[in-house]
Amino acid sequence: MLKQSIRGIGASTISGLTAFGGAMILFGKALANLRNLVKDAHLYFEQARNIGVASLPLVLLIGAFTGMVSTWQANYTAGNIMPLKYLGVATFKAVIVELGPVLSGLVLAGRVGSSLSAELGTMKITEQVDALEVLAIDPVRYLVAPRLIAGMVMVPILVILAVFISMFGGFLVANTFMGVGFETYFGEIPIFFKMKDVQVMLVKSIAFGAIICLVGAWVGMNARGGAEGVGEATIKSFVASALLILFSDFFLGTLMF
Amino acid sequence: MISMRGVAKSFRGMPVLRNVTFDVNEGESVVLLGRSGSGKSVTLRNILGIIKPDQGKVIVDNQNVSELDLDELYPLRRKIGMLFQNAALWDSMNVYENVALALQHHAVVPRREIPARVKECLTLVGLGEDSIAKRMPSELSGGMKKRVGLARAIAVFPKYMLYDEPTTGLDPIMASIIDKLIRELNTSLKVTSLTITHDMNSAFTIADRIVMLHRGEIIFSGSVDEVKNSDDPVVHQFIHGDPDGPIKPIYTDHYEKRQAHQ
Ligand SMILES: Nc1ncnc2c1ncn2[C@@H]1O[C@H](COP(=O)(O)OP(=O)(O)O)[C@@H](O)[C@H]1O
Ligand SMILES: [Mg+2]
Repeated sequence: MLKQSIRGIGASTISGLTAFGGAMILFGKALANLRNLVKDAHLYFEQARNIGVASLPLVLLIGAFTGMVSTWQANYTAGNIMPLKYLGVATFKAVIVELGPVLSGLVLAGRVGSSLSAELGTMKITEQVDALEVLAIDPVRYLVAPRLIAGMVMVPILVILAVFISMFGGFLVANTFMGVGFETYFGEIPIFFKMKDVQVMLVKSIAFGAIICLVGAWVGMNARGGAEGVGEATIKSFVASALLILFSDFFLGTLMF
Repeated sequence: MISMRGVAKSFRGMPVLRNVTFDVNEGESVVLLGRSGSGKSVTLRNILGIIKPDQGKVIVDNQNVSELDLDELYPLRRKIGMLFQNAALWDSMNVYENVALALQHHAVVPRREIPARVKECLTLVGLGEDSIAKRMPSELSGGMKKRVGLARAIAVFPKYMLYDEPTTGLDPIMASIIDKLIRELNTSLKVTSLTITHDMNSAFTIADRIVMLHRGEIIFSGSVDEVKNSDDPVVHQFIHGDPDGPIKPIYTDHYEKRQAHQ
């Protein structure tokens, strides 16, 4: 029993490390292809636009609700000991370093990461990737790099956008239910604002963007089997990037504060 | 010239190719026969260097494919055209873009001549109408996809062509048009060809020589007449599609292996 479970842990550690190594190599190859950025610019812009169009409504919605709930909770938890003018600050602090990046990161892992692995996975199992190889067109240059790099640029932008929107969602709740005015809600934020908060948000967004896109691309390019294989890849990429987002959120949080 | 020497390839311990040795000489048209699952497509993938053999050598155009890295493989692959068994069209691009991509990417012809080259190749496979060029792969029948895949492969003027079941899924008239095209590319443009097919009429039309893959080895190599008159029981059964004979219908190689494995 024990022996078996140790062996199991050993095997999954090895496959985890192999996956990590593989993803890093893929990342390196994609970065090397940035030398063709000017020539291939249209491919990158197309992917960036696709990601933006597909995710924007979702990100706005998540942002708004994250802020609304945070404000509501802040008022519920501390409403009788905290003056209402601090509602905005409480929301801001909760949303900017933690809830905004993590919640939108998780949802984007579902939206951007899964569609990346589904798209590349389908192309892999239907031999579309081989068809590029055979025509001497590098699939990393043509398929992976534009999607990966566009994703790594777009995901942090979307996360930051979600954080901004959440402040307005919070204000909406504070104004409607607690009668807090615009200046009261936002007035205290500059006083408690720390550059650190923004730095943490930026670092987390960039890290989550990298995790989502690298996992999605690597899992897609290593899909096997038929349509099932693609389904499996999609689930795998979501679960793996969600876990990695939560782990790295904890590590980045403890490291940076 | 394409030569395979003692090529072996297993997947997860299951041998598919054991000892495959054959040549396709310069300018020759060879047909590769074998049952479904006997490893014909795997053979083509070895020639292209998409997979590497466990043992043996694959030589294409005097280069040892399995020893080349990607930078050396790409120039070699530009000399080889491949028609995939399932066409493998890029489904986010329309028919025109599928055929044009490699022409653009490698600047095979000057930019302004690309539309004419695409049209020429689509016309050769019977898909010359302008309305078809704008269609997406999902709007094509299986046979049409196959023909677009063929147009895409020949567009870049390959010196070698590998066809994986080119006429499967085509009606008999279209099938003979494609057979004729394969033969013409071979005779007038001297394209060295290796074709996988299950269609004996096709095989007899296209082939200078026929080889047969069975149980991971090439068990027969000969001209069309030699195949027709062969008294090798396996070859005889295969080309006549006999239910009785040395090839058993259910207990394929792999099935037996798997049984032995368990
Ligand atoms: N990448 C792969 N991984 C595992 N098994 C494979 C792979 N490619 C082919 N096979 C197996 O090899 C055998 C031969 O396949 P293939 O060459 O496609 O046969 P065919 O002669 O019909 O073209 C089949 O049993 C197939 O399942
Ligand atoms: Mg096949």
